[in-house]
Amino acid sequence: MAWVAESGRAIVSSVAAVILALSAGAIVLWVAGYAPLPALWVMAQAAFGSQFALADTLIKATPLALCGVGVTLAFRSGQFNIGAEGQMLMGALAAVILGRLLVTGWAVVFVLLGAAIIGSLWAWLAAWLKTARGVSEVISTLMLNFIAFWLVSWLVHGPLQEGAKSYPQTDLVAEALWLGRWLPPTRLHTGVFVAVGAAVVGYVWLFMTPIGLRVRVLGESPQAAWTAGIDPVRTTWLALAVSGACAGLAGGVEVLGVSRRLYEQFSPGYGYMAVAVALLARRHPLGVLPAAVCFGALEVGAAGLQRAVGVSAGLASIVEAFVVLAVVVVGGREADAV
Amino acid sequence: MSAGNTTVSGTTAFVVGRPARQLWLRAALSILWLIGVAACGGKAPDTPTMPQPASASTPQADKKPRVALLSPGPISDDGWNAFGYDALKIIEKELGCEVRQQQVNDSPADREQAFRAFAQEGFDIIIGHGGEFTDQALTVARDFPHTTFVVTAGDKAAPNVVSVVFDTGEASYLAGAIAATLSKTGRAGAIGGQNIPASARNLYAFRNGARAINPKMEVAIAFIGSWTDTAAARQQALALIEQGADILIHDCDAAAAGVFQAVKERNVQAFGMQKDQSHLAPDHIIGSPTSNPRGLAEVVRRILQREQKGEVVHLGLKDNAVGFTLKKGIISKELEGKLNALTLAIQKGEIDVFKEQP
Amino acid sequence: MSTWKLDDIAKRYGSVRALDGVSLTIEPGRIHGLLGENGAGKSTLVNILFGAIRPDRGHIICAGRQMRFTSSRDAIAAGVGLVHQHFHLVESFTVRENVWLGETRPDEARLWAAANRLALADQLNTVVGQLPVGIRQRVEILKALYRRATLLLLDEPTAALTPPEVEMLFALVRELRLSGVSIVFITHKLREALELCDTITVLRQGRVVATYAQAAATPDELAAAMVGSSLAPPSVTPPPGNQIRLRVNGLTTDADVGASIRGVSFEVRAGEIFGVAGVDGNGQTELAEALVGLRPAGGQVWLDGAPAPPGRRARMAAGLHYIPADRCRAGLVLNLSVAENAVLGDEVASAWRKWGWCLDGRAIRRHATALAAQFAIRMPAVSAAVMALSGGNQQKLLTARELARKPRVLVAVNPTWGVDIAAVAAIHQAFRTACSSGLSLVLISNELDEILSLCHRLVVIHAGRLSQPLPPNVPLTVIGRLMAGDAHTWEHYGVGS
Repeated sequence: MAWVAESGRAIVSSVAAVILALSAGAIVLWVAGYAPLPALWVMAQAAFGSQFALADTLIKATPLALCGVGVTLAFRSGQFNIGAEGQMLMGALAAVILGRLLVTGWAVVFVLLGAAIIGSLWAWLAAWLKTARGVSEVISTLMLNFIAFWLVSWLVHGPLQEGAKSYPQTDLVAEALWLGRWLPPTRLHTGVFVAVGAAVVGYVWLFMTPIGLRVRVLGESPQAAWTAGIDPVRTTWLALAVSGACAGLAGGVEVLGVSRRLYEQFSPGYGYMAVAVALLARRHPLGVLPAAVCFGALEVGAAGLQRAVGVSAGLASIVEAFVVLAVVVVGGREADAV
Repeated sequence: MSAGNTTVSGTTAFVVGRPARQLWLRAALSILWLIGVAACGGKAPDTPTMPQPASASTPQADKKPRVALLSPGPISDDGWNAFGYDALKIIEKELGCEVRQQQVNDSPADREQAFRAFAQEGFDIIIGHGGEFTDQALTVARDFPHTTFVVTAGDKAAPNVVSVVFDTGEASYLAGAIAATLSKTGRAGAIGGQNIPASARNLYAFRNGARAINPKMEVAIAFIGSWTDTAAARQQALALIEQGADILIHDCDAAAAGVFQAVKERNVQAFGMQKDQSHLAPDHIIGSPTSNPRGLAEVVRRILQREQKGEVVHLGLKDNAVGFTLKKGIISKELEGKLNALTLAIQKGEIDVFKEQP
Repeated sequence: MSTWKLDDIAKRYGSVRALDGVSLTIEPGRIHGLLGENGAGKSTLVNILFGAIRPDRGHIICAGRQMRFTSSRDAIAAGVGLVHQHFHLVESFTVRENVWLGETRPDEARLWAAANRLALADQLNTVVGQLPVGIRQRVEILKALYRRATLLLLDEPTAALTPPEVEMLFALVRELRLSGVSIVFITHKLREALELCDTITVLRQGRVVATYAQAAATPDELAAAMVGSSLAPPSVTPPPGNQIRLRVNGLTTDADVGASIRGVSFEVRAGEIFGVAGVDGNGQTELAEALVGLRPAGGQVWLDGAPAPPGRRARMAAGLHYIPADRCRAGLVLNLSVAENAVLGDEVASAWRKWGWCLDGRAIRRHATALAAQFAIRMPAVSAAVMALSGGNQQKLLTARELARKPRVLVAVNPTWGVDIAAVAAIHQAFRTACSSGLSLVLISNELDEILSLCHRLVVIHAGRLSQPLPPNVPLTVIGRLMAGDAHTWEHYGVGS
């Protein structure tokens, strides 16, 4: 079967990217005077070595996976959506505001729905700018990221600041809305299932529905889509809206599952890292899951490296950056395709 | 004309080959690197400690106590984070502790995760360096009753959470007094980073000190919303100087480089903060309110010897935890006498440097 | 001027033998035709001669010396020039700049000499983007001659040319032969090979089947050698019925880009094949897109007496289907599977769905398999990307897909462009069969042969206007003049005269 060979090739090249990245990271560590293999082992331990480590990795992987699914779906439609960061922030904002208005447990669904809708509207703005005004989505989604960031920044310093007025952050959302922790004593929350669900639904939507087929046709060949009578405007809107909904959901899940409030530095760049996640996943919604775990492990592992070996934060970030770079290098042809 | 003897389908003759081969080449190269690197070796980290599953319940008396510091920014900032790291070094050398440090993103989730990770490793004391660590320290402290959490500049306490407040404001009050005496325009400026309570109190104390000498002294207080944005700090400083301020004080950590830049450009005077910062603008810096990292180390010592209960500890001039460095020869004998008197009064508690607060 | 010899060249890609022991001799100052279907190995062979691909085995020998090409650079140094099927020119550069791309020491005198040989001296400062296709091709030849090519490889050089341009190219090639340049002329068109080449080598499935001297070759023999069997003689298209299936009245489009259609009217009966001949760029694409509802147009289109609804999908639902000219970009999606392409445009049909919303993969694959069986489409699997199919098989897939939708009217633009003989025959036969059961085919093609052999009636399109419908036995000179826009002829055969 051709697809078996094809996915085999994709997996091999993604794994090669990770290996390349880790060896590049190892060289950085070595140059800085650390024994690389023990250091990598420490990272692995910190990311997977205990149930707590695993939980931390999955907690980090959850927003990465949700944003990654969103970015993947946009990529498939031929839109280079690098605005998952802003869409996620807007989703988080919506979750925090709804979390103040709705305070009973069953409202979780509505809070998350609201986050997804606001995230999708934020992405749709970029789609509209593209179809109506010809603005490249690369620029518009990036700019919308900044707008979302400064909007959140202003709100947490001003109108939405906590009652105590001490820090630039909102009050906690109602406790009834918090996502359950299903693996105590770890902090692993049920948002993980939302991420897995989104990946599966994204896969089914993309590969098993007529609309998904249309989205892929548009992404592979806009001219063929037009010739086949596929409305490029509506399909672009739809793809970006669904993409933004995933990122918005990431914001909502992160608020209800981890942070429980909004603050300026809410996302340490999940939305940007999601681009690398999507590339490592070879633009496959299900591939996003292992790719997100990979990047989650990297984040947690880098922190563990600091804790255990005393590698400085800057160095740990360099190792992380190398991984992203390697993913883009090996996945480069994929990026061209987008 | 020769012809081979094998039949082929001959339709898909293109695209295969090259990419795959490059890929394998890349993979092979990376593995070679790994092997090479491993073979060359490197300095081994001193026995990397693996995270242990949580059971911090049995601290062993004969083992070295372990202390961790969570820094909100780079320890090379010559300010707040460097101060925390200095304290950690003292704790390591003088209290004989095993120490670790981790820089944590400005995010509650990451702060909590870092607290938990160290607690699970069985650390005895974990210092969150900054008031923003308070909530997460209280949360995690509930799950690890045998670990003590220290929050610098925090305002809450629990049985195993100690907040240490350096009342740097006491020294800023003195700086204010100097500013009021030296200013020719009767105006001074104070530049804060993010508008958080500890920082605001500190800058208001500066104003209180200035007004104690000259009740008409105008002290503008402005926040740039960041601890690292030197450009914003410079802009703010220039704006204050435009408005007539000829002496500036800051509490904006690494962003202060921008303040000093502006001070040099416009040839006015300024105070440093946290550490003796006179080397950053030698001709323009009058002096610096300082915090003494030994103050923090002392609290850690008391915790280790079970002398410290969970409370909010205020440290100031009288504890020698807050001080003031002054450039030589810049002030008159008369002012020096006045400063000494003020210092004494503050130490005795006769002056409330935080009289006016935000 | 030297003799080039290929000795036992072999090249395989994975399990596919692209070339399997090819040996041939290219005499100096001769035109050597390389004839074969798509996928026969012609392109691979040319790329090996040009140093772009290294053979697994075998030698290239020039004037008795064995050549070792590690890259095209070596081949160019040895005097090999290649004109690609798709030109490698920078359109925003002038002709001179294009020639000098990559040259470290431009030699103006040599450029002038070469340009004069090709009658390009006047155009050296013209931006390539402004030149017609035929001239661009000459710029490619200029590049090769400037680099002192003595062996010129022309890869499917007539594919993009109009008939007059083809004639000019042939004249030029003959002149080059006189000056001693050896030419390898790669084509899949029998007539061209017979007309131009001194020697013709036929390749099939990576092997040399036969080599003929021009005088010794007959079309039937060559065709049989190419496809491996003799072709059945073309059957005759059955006569159409009387019912008016498609009526077009005053169809007009805006000229935002390209040509526009100016008040076109015609009628097509059920079962009729209606040809639209013309030189590319005279409004063919616009006419097709306006007919199938892709392009907004003034005027009316009726289907079986009812006004056709606006929009592509609505017209598809009404039975009006379309085979676009560019199969790779407009007709098919190369990166998607054969199965997915088989339902493209029709993906919402209930036949491909289960549970209301889910695509029924099994039904789609079964459909694709049936299409493949019916049209003898060769492919690795229905789940393979269409990219893995040869051009002919891609075109057969496209044709099969549209015919399977049982169209009442099918608009086909250049449906056999760049396709091998066997596929052309299969596609033509499929058209005839469909028409015998009532299909009305609007065949817009720049292959005059195709139109003349298939159509019941034909019109010529020029500058967005149609001529009167003509019978296929109208004198070729008339059609030629109409295609060239001869004012006198148009006065006579234009609509309303």
